[in-house]
Amino acid sequence: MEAVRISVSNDFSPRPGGRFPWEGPNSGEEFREKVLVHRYREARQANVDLVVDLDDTSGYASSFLEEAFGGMIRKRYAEKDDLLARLTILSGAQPKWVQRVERYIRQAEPE
Amino acid sequence: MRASRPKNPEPRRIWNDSGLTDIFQSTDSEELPEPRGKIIMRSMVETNPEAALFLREFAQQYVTLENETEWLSIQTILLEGMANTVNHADGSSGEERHQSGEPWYAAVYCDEVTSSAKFTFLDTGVGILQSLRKKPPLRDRLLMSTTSSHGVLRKVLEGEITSSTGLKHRGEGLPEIRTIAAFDGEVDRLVIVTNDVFADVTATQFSTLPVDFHGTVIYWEKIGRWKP
Repeated sequence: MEAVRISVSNDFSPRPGGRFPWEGPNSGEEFREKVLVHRYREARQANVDLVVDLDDTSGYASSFLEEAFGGMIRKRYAEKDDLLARLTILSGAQPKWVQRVERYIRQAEPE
Repeated sequence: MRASRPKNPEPRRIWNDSGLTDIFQSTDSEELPEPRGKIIMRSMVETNPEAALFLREFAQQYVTLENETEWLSIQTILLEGMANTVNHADGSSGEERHQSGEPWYAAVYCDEVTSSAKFTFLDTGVGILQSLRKKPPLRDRLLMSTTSSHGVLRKVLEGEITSSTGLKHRGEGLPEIRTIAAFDGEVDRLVIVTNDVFADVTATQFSTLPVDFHGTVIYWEKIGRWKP
């Protein structure tokens, strides 16, 4: 089966914002709750990979990426090992974002 | 409004190129050449990616970069500055899920002489160090172990002192700015002034100011090629 795919630009917004919705538009929490959680569950149910493409946006605040991906662990939407194994992050524009996301997931602890 | 122009040639050129001549009527009568630079400003109380993009795209009209993806890091610095103001500029911990209400101001000045875009981000909140002084015990210990204010800011930028929220996963913004400036080389100069500290982040030079600045200024430059 094919992997489940997310394009942040197409499936959420080409203009990602800060961490929380109260900070301003297009927050990391909003992305997690509206898109990432659902697609992750889909991928898990089908036992396939989840591919998240970070490109074609205006750029990211660290808080957006941390809240979206680290928040998956903190909010107990995902087990760390499963998310790390299933998730592929793509970014040709800024490859360092890929490492950032992996670090945020590794550092996060369930609340 | 009426104002006198700077007398020294270089500040006089910058004054003229900044576009401030549209706002201020000069008190001297000397005709100046057409401005070569452009300045644009935005102010808001939220983390707003559209506003960041507006400033960035303004700069992109005048300056071309060899690696165009470096504009993404300009956007990141603007977003990190906004998030810092929105979360901490009123001195609250940032956990209360409310906007500080403190406005930020951001401007970009495109300078033809140096083929660069010069960004300034400002808030007049409590400042980074003052915000950190309202800390849980862990941070208090770190603060006590450092004698100077600039030593504290340095630790913040190095990620050694985390966010004023006391949450481990917060406080990535300022270290991210430092990484962009000092390691990734994606800006040519980045300076932070907050409370009584002056930090040239790209040059790793920190000093204590004789006066206290109430708020935070982040200034950075990106040199490229001037678009004809």
